[in-house]
Amino acid sequence: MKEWLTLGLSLLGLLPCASVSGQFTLLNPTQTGVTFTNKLTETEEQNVLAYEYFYNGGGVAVGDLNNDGLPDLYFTGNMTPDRLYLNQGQLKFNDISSVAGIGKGNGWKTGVTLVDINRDGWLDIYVCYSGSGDASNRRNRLYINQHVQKDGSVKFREEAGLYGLDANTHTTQALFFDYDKDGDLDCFLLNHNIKDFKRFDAALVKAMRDEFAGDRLYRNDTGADGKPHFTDVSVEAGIKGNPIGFGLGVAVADLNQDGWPDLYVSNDYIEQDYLYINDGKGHFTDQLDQAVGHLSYFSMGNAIADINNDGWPDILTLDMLPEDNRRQKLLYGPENYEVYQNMLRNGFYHQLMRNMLQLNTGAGMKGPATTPVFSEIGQLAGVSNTDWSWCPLVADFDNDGWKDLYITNGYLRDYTNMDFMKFYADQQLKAARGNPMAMMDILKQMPSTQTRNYIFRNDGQLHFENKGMEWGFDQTHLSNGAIYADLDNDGDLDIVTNNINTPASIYRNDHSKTNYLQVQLGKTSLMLATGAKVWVYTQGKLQYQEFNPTRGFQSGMYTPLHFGLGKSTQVDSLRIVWPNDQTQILRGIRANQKIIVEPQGNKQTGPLIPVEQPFFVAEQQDTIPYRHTEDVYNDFKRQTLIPTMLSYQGPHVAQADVNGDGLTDLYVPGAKGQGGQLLLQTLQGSWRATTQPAFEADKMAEDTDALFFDADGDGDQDLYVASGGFAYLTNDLLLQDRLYLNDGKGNFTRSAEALPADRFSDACVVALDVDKDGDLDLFVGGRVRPGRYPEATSSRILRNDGKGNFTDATETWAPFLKDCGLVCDAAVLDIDHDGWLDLVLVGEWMPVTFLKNKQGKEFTASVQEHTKGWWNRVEVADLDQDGDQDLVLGNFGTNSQMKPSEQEPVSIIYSDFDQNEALDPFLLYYIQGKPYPMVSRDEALNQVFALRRKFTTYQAYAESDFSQLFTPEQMKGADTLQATQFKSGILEHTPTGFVWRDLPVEAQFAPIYAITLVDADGDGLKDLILAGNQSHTRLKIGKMDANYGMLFRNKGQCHFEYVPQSKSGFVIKGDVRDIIQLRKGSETVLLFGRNDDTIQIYHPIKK
Amino acid sequence: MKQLLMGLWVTMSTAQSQSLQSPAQLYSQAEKHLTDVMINDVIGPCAAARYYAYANLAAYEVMLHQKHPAGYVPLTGLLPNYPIKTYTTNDQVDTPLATVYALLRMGEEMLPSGYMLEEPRNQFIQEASTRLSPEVVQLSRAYADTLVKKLVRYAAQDGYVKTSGYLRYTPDTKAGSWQPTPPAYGEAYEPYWATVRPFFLDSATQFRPARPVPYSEEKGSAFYRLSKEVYDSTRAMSREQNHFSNFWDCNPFALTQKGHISFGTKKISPSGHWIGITSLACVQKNLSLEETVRWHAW
Repeated sequence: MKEWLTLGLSLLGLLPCASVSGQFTLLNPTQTGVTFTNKLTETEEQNVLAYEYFYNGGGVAVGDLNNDGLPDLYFTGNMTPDRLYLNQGQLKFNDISSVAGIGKGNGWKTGVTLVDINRDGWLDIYVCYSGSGDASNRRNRLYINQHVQKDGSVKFREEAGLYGLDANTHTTQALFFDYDKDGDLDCFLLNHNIKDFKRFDAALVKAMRDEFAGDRLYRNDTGADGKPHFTDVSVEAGIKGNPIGFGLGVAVADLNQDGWPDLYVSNDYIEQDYLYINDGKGHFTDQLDQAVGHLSYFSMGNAIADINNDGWPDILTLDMLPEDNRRQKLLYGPENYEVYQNMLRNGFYHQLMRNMLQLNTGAGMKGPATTPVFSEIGQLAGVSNTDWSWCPLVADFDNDGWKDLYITNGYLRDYTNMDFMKFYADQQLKAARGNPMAMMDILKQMPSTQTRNYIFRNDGQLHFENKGMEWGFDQTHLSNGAIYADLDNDGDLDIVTNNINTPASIYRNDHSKTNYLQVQLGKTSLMLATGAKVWVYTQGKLQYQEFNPTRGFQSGMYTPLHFGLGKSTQVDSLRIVWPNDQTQILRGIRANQKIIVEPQGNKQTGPLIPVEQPFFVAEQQDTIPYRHTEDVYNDFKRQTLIPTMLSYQGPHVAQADVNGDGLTDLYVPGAKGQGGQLLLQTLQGSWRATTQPAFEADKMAEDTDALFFDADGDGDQDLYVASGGFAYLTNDLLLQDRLYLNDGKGNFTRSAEALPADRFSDACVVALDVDKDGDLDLFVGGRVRPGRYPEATSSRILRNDGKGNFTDATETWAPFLKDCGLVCDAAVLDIDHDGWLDLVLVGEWMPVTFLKNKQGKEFTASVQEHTKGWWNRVEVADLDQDGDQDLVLGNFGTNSQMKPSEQEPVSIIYSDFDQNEALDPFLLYYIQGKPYPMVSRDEALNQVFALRRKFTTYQAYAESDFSQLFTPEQMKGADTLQATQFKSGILEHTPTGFVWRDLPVEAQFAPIYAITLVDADGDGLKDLILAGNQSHTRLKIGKMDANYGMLFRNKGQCHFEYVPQSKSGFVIKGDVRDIIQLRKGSETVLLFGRNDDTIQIYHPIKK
Repeated sequence: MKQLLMGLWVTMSTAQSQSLQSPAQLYSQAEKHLTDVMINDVIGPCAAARYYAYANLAAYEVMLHQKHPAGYVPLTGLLPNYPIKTYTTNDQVDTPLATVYALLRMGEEMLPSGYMLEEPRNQFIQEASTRLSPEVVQLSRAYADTLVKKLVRYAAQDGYVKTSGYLRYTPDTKAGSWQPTPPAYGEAYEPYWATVRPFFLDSATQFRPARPVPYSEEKGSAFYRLSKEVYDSTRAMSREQNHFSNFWDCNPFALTQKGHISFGTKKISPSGHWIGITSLACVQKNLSLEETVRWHAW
């Protein structure tokens, strides 16, 4: 009996003592011995009002401090003593804090990192200090490893002063790296301010240097005594140090793969992040606004890693956007366009409050110090909303070869709560009458929001699946600094987080065994591997990592590089480029081991990534003397609730040989206030602007489409210009389309009587001979009723009498076009091969609609099922060479918060709810399974005053869904439009109808507004070029700019393959609205028409 | 009748609270309730003026119908499209009850957070019920309600509700044009106020104010002088001046920001101040209810 009991008890002892579910197990602190808690005690002197960053939390570092092969842990406590734990094996740790010689001095501790500063093969510890109070209390500490003592513990001696690294700035973190590649480690100190600036002269402040708040770069030079000496070279190195820099995250990586380490600095608040490109000559240049289209607003922790295994480092920055509707609505005030414009004017660039995943396109790399270009796809990837986030850990947690993502989050007092802001604080203040203690009581009233940390699995398709619950992360903590490391040497990565007011979390990775390889760069830390690059190739797949210990948020990892290998049992080849450019290649490495590599090989310079010749190259100068120039108009001032502005359409460029000289000429359109122009091509290949009084006379109309065709049958190309836009009255005279007749020599005069009266804001015009009477009739698509979005408007069919006089034949031929919707584009094709030309229409909130021509007598309409979308463009081509016309369709894309489906559509409900003769449209989309209005409480209440009674608090609005906004009667009188599909894609024409074919995920990066087909690779199949972007949206949607012009190769059968930007050669920035192919001499060039900008030209490169 | 009223007043006052409440105090207390709601809703000066105007108009009309006191002017014929055509007296109605009740009820109907006045209104009725018969209370309430309904509809037609649908003001970029300022960069305040129907004027165009001083950066210009005056004054403001400025400050919501924390100090805007001042004056002079209502309405 006793034996059974003993056996039973010992078996119990083996069972894990914490929650078990999924892949990770949260270990019990009493079992591990790691009981460290970052306890925060708020007092009169020490609180979030006295010190801004009171709730930011501490950091954690992992590395082998006693050289026994096991990674040890160091935790910083903000106001409690730091703790140092030696790893004993089997996930047991020994607290040696009291004997280690750490924890010198008082003060507020923040970040920690590990570095072998004196190159003796033993890791030293650098601890950062911040906080308010005396400057002497925040000198950073550098604990030099005194090696293993006789009792087995490790001792340290504090020597920051000796090295010149005892800065008393408000430090968040320190990063050691060799920026000048002279063989020793330099130091970047990430600092922040403790005073906030709200009213200041931006230009003045940005040029200042703040002694305690500015970031610093210290260059390491070995002195005559052989010891390292650090000199502050911030100014000459180009490192900014102004007082509005609130640096919370810093990462180093070779972003442009030119052999020199670059830096990314995340700044909280208004100051933008810095993307420092190292020029290899000791100087950094901030290229942020050239590299990214927008960035996180309150940037906190960040990470640089190659998340899509293409060899190019990508950047992830964390912000504060919650996932659920309730917390989002409690957080958002009204959109303030003026604040945003002010931010731009003062050089703060485009900042939006959400996590940003900047995917490195690898584009435009032309040599050293080139600016890398990124596409921001955080929403498409599903990682944009993780609440108030701190530390991203990018690593392969399930060993499948793709880097996953863990994010810590949490904030002790939720003072971003709008209700608190507007209603409670003042009451309390008044009652308290200036008693300082009362402020503390007020603060204690704010809810403490403990949210779950996030873990995502990378599915290899630029998308991350939320695995929080499945993988065992259902606890709610306030977590800040974090690290990953294989703590128990079992081949998978465990996670450790530093928590506020609860013990640190250690998650043991229980992943079922899959293959891995760990690469330790050097026997000991002596090897100076910081900045080394490793490429791992398995079965044709690539993984890339750089060794840079300081990562994430206030944390550091001095551990071997970990590569998951999925099903592969060996690594085919492994390339290492050491910081001194020594390159070595290892082959045939068996999986499931840790290899220790020492530097060998010759130094190699030259490109790290082979440069391929791209398909296209940009024209060096803008040779077309034209710039589409928009009028300044803010649609949201007119209709405050609409999703996107509609006054920034165009340009659509038209081409034809207008003067019969054999050269193609161009009509380049004008926005409101700008006359369209006719540009004649010259024999030299340049352009000659012509004077066209007729165009100039109509400059107040906004040209949304243009078409050259022979209207009057006299053999030359006449011009139809569609007038549209939003900056007009609902029935404005300036919405009249125009027909200009060519005199044969390229002089155009308006044919005043040729068109029927038209007060429609149009978007497109196409020509087709409907009745086969030998002349070209027209279809004109109506886009919107200015000021009455999203009310349906009418499209028209105009019948040509053969002499260029058009009558409205809609009643006869297609009466259903009256109030048919919001049409954006149309194309002509013979769907049923009956010899009579048909039409396909696409539009906003509309399904793809076919108009079949019944023998020239009338059209019948039918729709393609399941295609209600926000379609912008359609192009017709025989993609699969089977003799029929397929369709390429440009839609809104999936890189936004809205992901409609049949079950969870995006919809808009509109009516004059408050009877004030203005339409009140409410856009709804699904968040976590329920539909909610997009607009914040303030925006809704500003539009419909009566709602103020219903939602007197933000909480009330946050907890309601749309059904509570209006009464059943009000809803009965309202109209609804839906969209179930935002993906751009292909409709393949088959004998049984049209079948949907997906395009690669890259096509969904941004709204597509321009399509063209060209055989780029010369294989006889038409390849696809898509472009678009939209910068005039609601601030909540934010600037959409991830598309730089994309090439997709036709692989046959309507399958297309994305061609990386480095290979296509495209780097087109801005809102592209048209791509046309223009014959110039012997080649066909591509013209990219951009809204409010010049035309960019690309030439094909001859192979 | 008057003696009866005064008697009633005395009874009411003694029955009501610890301190003796004069008619002016009673009415002022009701006004304060309205003011509190407006502070809560962060109502700006123009909108506040409108709410006060219509609410006090209702009380004024009750008093006019019932008592025809000296100094009261019938508004029929003076106000265009005015819904009150004739003036009849209802002897059963308790005038003070109906007057104060009308004031509160108007506020309840019109203000965004008008529901906050439900409690004070009920309290008021409760106290009145301790000294008046249920029938009188019922009748007085119904009387006031009918009047209030008419006036609420009248108010709704003044065009204010439409202003939320007009083109929002976009700040111009030219030098000298108004720009939003930090920290809140608030929207232009009620730029369409000129379209709201005035009471006695035909339209806002009837009295044209002088043009604003033309913008100029030249040292000797009037604009420069005025700007300099503001600049110099603010640099050397006394504590008392500070208090005065804050008292008269139009902004009903002063945003204070400290890092991520933002909290708002709310206070009443100038129109509320004038009501407050009027109330103080009436109480100090111990005016009758008739007089108190008259002064507040005008």
